[in-house]
Amino acid sequence: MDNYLEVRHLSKAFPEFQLRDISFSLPPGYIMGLIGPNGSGKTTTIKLILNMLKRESGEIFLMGMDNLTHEKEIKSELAVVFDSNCFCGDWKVSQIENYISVFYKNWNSGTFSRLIRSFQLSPEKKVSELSRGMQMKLMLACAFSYGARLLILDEPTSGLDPVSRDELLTILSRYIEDGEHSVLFSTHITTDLERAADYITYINDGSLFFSGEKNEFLDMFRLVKGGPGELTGELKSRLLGLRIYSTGFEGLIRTEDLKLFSHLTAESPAIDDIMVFTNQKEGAL
Amino acid sequence: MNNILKSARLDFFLVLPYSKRIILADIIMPVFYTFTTGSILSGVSFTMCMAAILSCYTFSVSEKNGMEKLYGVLPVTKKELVLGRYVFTCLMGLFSLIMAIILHPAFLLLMKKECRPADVIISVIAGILTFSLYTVIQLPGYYKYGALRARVFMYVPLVGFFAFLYLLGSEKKSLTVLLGHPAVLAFAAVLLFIGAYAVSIALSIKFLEKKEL
Repeated sequence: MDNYLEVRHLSKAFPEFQLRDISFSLPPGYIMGLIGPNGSGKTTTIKLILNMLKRESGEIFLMGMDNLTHEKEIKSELAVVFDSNCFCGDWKVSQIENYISVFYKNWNSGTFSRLIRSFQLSPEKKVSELSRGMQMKLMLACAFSYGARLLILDEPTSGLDPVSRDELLTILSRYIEDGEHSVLFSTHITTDLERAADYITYINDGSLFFSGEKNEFLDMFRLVKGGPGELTGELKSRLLGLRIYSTGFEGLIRTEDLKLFSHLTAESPAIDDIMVFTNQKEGAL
Repeated sequence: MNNILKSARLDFFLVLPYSKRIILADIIMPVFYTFTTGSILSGVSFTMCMAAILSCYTFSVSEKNGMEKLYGVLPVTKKELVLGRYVFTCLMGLFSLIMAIILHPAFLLLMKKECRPADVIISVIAGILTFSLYTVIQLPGYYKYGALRARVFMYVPLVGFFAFLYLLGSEKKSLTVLLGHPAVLAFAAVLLFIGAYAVSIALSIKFLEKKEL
């Protein structure tokens, strides 16, 4: 099997938003960051993968199976952690296993108990009494307890403190270590991906901006800086985004265009820089 | 255990935290109602009315907790989820009915009031009939509009119950004739149970499959 996740020419139209021709693939043993600003289409893409939304066109394959015709088989090998709790708030941590495990034939009670202990989740606490970070850990404990090969996380770090975010990234890195598990990780907190992701899929305003290896993504752009007099018309036309200060400017340029402006100071951008500059509205330059 | 039973089991755990409230409203209150009216028929009908109202807790609890995400990732089809909910609803109705036909006659006998076996049989049939009628209307409504927007469907059993009481009180010929013929009533109950549930389930599956979670 080549890829755990393969999305081909995926499209979905809402009255006020359109996801257009999204294609990307994720091989086994890697973490892919699904990035984009709020409302760009990340959650829509994930819901289409999970068949929670109906697509207009395109194809989705998970573990080599079509997501419409093999929905049940796929979902027993797929784990999902959402940005908010998906269990009943009145359930106790100790009860969750009893309620959920029957749906998964590969459920491992030992793994679940070990994770509950290692995540320091109090078994007698109700789900609603857990902090957001603890609720996320509970969802992760369930996700890891039935040997899911693909883990999809939809903005799991958005409400977490830096310590919990760091813990999550460590857990994810361990999860893919054996080369038989993969993670699709949607976030707009891109610093998490600098550390953990191998691949990046960047969706902007419903369209695919980039999908490929993270290093290739970062190598595609450079952050150029210069004094007020160095911002020429030609440079402006080549910049993908620009910030002007009283002391000068900084902008994002394609690496291939950099040779035309070799006198400028250039550095590698962070994923955040690429997202911010490529999201500047028309006329901002 | 197949996926339909697993889904019904999950629904049971969904309402389990509210079990005290459910027992009070579905079991204890109707007993007092029977004690006040002295009629097992209206008492059992009240039980089934409450059972139909309370069975919709599954919708409101799952909606309140944002559990459509959980349903979206479980390895079960939407059809199995719907069938599971119908199984749970019917089991809840059956449990209420069994409790009612044990407690209500016992209470009446304790109070030295009359309770003939024929009254119990008619009450059981009428209970099944009314519960089926309420739930076959309610469930597709909840699937189509969701628990919050479909609150009006919660009142279907109440309206039905008061209509039943009105017909009972005014001794309308049709109802008197019907209650006087348990065999006809039983046949109607079976027919309604099978036919109406088949249509109701088909509609609910259609609504949920069309719904984007």
